[in-house]
Amino acid sequence: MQISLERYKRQLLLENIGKCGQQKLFNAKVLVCGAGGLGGPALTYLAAAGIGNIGLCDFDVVEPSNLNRQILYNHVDIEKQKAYIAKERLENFNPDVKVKVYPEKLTEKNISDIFKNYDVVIDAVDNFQSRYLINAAAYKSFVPLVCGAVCEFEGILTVIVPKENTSCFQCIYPLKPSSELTSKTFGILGATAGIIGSMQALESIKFILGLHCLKNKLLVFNGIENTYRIKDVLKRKDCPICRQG
Amino acid sequence: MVTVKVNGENKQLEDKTNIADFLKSNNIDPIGVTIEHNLEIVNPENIAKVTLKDGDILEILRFVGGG
Ligand SMILES: [Zn+2]
Repeated sequence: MQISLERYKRQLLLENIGKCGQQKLFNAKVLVCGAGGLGGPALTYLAAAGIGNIGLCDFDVVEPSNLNRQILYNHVDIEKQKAYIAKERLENFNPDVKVKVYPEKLTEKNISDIFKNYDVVIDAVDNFQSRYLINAAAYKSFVPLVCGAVCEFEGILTVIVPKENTSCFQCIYPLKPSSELTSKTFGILGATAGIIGSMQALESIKFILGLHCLKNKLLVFNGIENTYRIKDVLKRKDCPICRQG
Repeated sequence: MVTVKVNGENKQLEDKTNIADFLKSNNIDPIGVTIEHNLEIVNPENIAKVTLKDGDILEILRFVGGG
């Protein structure tokens, strides 16, 4: 495909991108799991940057309560399936981008078959159960994983690279949260999800370009206190997911 | 008093403060966090049994999983 580079002029100026880096972005395949508060901004900035092949996995329909943070949708989309609306919006936004949709729930059965087609996976789901599943599958399929999550005014971000034997999501949270906690619905502000989702796009783009990324580290963002803390995440000797590498 | 490094910052605590006391005095609900004491994960059931000593390192990380 002959792509006009005019649209990417301002990023081609970046020393770390240039024509060679832009070609890497066009050739890249990135899967985003969850097209909600994190997935919306992540997908939008991946498409804006010219990631040539984007996968999008979400089986939900748009609900009114999504609209404070899920910026790919608007009020006329209520009750429609998110995956197809998101695909249309993203392909209209940047026709250089091909979006493949997986309007299904990720399970132990289908996840490896989906992951094997991608260079990077973004975890932008809304629950811990899926996060543990995605982390395990990424390690098993040797696919790099960019994890982001939000709760109230807080957010976290980390990059997991199985081929480099880094620590994993389960090293961060070795004890799973109680059902009391996971069944509770927490508040989320759109702007907080926007920050972390945008950072997930940024980490993915940097990974594709071979630049520094947040491996073996956890960024903890607190929007109330305006703090970013970066803590080391050590690989746990007893981690059932990453210990054998 | 003892000095404990909590999430990277030194805090002065009363002698014989245990992790449960510390969480309570900081209004942190133990079910909402992962606690690491000197690099070891502490089971939430045992937090009252771990007394903080001078030089200890405590990491308290909230369960953040939404999107
Ligand atoms: Zn691990």
